[in-house]
Amino acid sequence: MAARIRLLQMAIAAVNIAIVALAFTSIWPFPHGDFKVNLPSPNEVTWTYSDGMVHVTAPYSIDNGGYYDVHDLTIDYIVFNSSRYLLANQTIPIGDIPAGQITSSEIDFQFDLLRLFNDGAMGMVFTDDLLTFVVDVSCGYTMDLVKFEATYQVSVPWDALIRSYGPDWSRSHLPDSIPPTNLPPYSVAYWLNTSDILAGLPPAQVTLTLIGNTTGVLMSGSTTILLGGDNYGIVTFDSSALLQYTDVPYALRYDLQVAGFIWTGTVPIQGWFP
Amino acid sequence: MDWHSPDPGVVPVTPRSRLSDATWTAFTDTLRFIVVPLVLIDLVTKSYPELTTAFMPDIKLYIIFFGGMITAASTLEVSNEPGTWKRLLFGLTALGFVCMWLFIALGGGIAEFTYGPYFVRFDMSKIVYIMLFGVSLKGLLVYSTFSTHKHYLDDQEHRRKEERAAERAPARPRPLPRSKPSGPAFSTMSKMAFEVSHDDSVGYAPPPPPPPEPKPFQRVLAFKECPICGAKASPKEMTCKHCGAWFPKDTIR
Repeated sequence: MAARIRLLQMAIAAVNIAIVALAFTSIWPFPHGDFKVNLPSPNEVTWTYSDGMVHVTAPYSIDNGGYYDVHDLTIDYIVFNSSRYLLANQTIPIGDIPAGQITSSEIDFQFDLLRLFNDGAMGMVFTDDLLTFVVDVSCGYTMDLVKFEATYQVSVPWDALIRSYGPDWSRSHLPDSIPPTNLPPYSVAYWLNTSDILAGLPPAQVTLTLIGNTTGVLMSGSTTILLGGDNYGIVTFDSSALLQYTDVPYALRYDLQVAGFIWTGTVPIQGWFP
Repeated sequence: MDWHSPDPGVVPVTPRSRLSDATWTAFTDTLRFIVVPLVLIDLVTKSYPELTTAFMPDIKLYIIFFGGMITAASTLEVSNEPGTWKRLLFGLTALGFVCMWLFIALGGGIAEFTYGPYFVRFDMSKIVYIMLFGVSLKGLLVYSTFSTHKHYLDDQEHRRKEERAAERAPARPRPLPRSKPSGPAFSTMSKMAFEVSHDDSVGYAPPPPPPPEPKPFQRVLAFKECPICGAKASPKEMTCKHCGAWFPKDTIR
């Protein structure tokens, strides 16, 4: 009898020790840092722009330094801007990671900014924004006895592609009166400040039109401006033709084509009659 | 829970040792299931305020309640004699409370941790269920202890009953064989022992009579029966009036 109870005690103790060992080896790698999920930080996110598409890459790595294999590793992410407009979402099934191995790859997606622009969502083109990345990593551990989920949310600043633009009157030279007292050639300097990720793309096409007070369009001219950083171009008008008009140009209409984005506007001419 | 009780099948537990066992169990279980866990929970919640489990808001209350129930049930278990139904009941009850206590303390196996931009969720409920299974295996031990002692107690009780019955039951005389009167036959002849008389010519001397044996208590009858024909006769008679046979010496008063 006593031997039977002793045997039962030993069997129960053995089972419990095995269970404690299983629980310990399943949990310990997480607080100890043997199992690490390195998700991208804001400064690791890279952006490129081409043909209206913004291409985003963000590296990540998963270090399985634990005792068991990682099963069914999946990475889900969604990206939205400050107005909660969904830019991208995707599920990346990675699969299994054997114990002691590191898996590294990158989140890679693109969104059609030109389509957003054409749909009227011009915010990300002309103003800075904040893009929120929500990355969700889920996997099974210890023969799927442990379910691990990590959600990482980070906001990455988005720089406007076209920061500012407009005529530079200090560098412009227009007739000062009718008839003008200053000599031609008459020109308008136009500057454009764009994001660095546009550098290398074909230059912007700028068309300026002088609008008369009563006759409407007087004349127009075009120039190109380099993209990336702060650049300007000068539109030179046909002075002899301009001098034939007796109308007073009071406004400048601009037609811009920058990296596929096309828009137009009108600004009053300053200092026409200073 | 009597986790440290000695092998119950061997050493009989006296009431005094049961009392000391119960006191010791109450003390150790209070430490193990209430005091130490509360200190640990206090440390963990202060060091990791971002850690949350399902029962975290009222976990101290739960620990005190279930720890108290474990202590009470274990103490009552140890207070009862091994092999009794009460001890089995309290043992299994304590085990059930240990399972509930463990489930609460581990938050059902689901822990959530938030720090900075990270939100981490561990679902270890399957491991918790395996741990509960491991703990509930102790139930086998409780039952085994119960059944072992139950046999022991049953045997003891049976023996005691037998002894008591033996003490109470009066000794019954053995009924004498009744023989019917019959005709002359060897089988019906006198079965009385006969004495061979002393004979010096052949050198024979009868053996000395055997020492008197202690006789069991016999009921004194008002008559005696003839061992040959079975006829009733007065105790004073020396011969049977019916068949003429001699009565044994010890039947004559």
